[in-house]
Amino acid sequence: MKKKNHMNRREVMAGMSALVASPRLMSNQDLIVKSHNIDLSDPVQNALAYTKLIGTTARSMVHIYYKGTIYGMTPEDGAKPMIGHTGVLKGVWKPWVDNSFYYTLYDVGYFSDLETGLPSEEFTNPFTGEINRPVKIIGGPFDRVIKPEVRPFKVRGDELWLDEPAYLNFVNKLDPKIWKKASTAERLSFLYVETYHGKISDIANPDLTSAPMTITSTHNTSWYPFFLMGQRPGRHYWQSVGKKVDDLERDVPIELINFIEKEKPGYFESEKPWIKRKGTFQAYKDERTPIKD
Amino acid sequence: MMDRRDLITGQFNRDSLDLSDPIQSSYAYAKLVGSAGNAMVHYSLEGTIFALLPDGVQPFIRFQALLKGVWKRKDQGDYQFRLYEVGFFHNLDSSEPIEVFDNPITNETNVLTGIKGGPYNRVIRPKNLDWVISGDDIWIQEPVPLSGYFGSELSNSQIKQNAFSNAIFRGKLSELSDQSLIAPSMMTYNYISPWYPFFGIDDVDTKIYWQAVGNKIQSRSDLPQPMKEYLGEKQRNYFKSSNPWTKKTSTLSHFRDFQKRNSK
Repeated sequence: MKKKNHMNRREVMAGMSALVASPRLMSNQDLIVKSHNIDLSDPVQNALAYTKLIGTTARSMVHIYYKGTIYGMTPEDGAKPMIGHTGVLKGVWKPWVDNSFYYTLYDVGYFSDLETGLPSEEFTNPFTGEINRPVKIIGGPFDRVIKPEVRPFKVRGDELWLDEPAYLNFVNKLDPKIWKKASTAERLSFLYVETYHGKISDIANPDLTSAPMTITSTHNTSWYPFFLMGQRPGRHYWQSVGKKVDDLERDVPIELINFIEKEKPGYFESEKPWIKRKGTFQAYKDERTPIKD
Repeated sequence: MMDRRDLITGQFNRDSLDLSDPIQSSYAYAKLVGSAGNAMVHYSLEGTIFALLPDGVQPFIRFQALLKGVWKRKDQGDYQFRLYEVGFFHNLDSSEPIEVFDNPITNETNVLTGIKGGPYNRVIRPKNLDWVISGDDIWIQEPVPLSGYFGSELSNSQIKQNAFSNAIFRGKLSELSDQSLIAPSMMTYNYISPWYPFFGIDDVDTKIYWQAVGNKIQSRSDLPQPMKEYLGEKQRNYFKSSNPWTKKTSTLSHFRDFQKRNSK
């Protein structure tokens, strides 16, 4: 196992990085029960709750494991599973000005064989029958500021969750006139819905800077370029489940840890694993050449 | 290790599950999604329908639904359940049920019916399931490709269209391993469908995306207030009854019946 420093990886996962010593993630079952209150209608407390749920209020790092399946859907053939995917998101967090928080997000993982779950070098596209070669999953750095505002958390008993939809419509990096099989259109349309789930008792606990969290993530997007669907009607539905990592070896499959440490050595420990922004569409453009019909 | 005979007979005395065993896997499924014993289980869901349009995505309308599963443990590690659903649509900026909707895409007024479905019967037999496990957290998903007619009336010239639903259930491995018969569960429900006829958009090239989240609730008091009031007005016995209605229906059928009644 490669390491760039002498930090214990378990400590890194629990937010005890070199940045700051923050408490290990604990569920409310581990705590002495105290009376805590949080007012989610207050923008400042709401931002604090949001940050604690998806990241950390301390100057520290948070990792999120995810695993899921991509389904394609066309008018002729309906829905079919296409390929699996798995990875680890890294958020590098710090408190910011005016009761805000700032974080930088990275993503590393792989597209996986539907049967074995192992990295897929190529697979047969169930709609075209052609062999597709996926790129590796890589993303970031993406910067974001969490400002005080009232987000519509749902609270039932001690359960708390938040649906966070995002609608994106932007110019495709792959010109469809040039990338005839990899590009679906001049513009891409994405709908992301992330649902973060935790416990209100953890969020309200002042002894915790980061609360245990699980995530369900669904994306409705234009076809990934490596599916080589051209301008065929349809889209794909991207589904994953995951959680904030507390203990790397316990929470993340060893195959994924090994893959990430081989592809991006020091990813788990580093506050800045790379500098230039990367993305799946950009990676395809950088690594591949247009395919003729 | 858990004794398979104990599982089949409902006698549990263990603190871990072997999910590679089909009987234990189905037991865990029943306990997470519904009940490993004879019981009624309810999920209260709140969600949004998004319009997937050529020029982008648009949040369209919101909805609340209450799912009821009536579960029975059968012989040989089988479970049987009967599912019902009721619910209502509401505007994006309010949680109050609506029957008249100002459609932001067509700028026309739509008359809506409620959400109503079931009874849908299903048997769960022992089999290996594709669980995702991370530490003490566990998930199962149920993707279902669908095909059917989504128009307003049944006719001979029905054009079939495709849809796709996916339900994801999340729980704790430790809670599936304890001696209770029902485990807490969070549900995420996604459904990509053609336009439902009551929205008045006859466009086979675009779809709508239903996204809802909720949890298994323990009592009627856990319901959101608008749902309590909706049930009080429209489905008074729904929560208590193990057989709230007998004739099988769906939201589409419910709407078509509504249309027929109003056309007479």
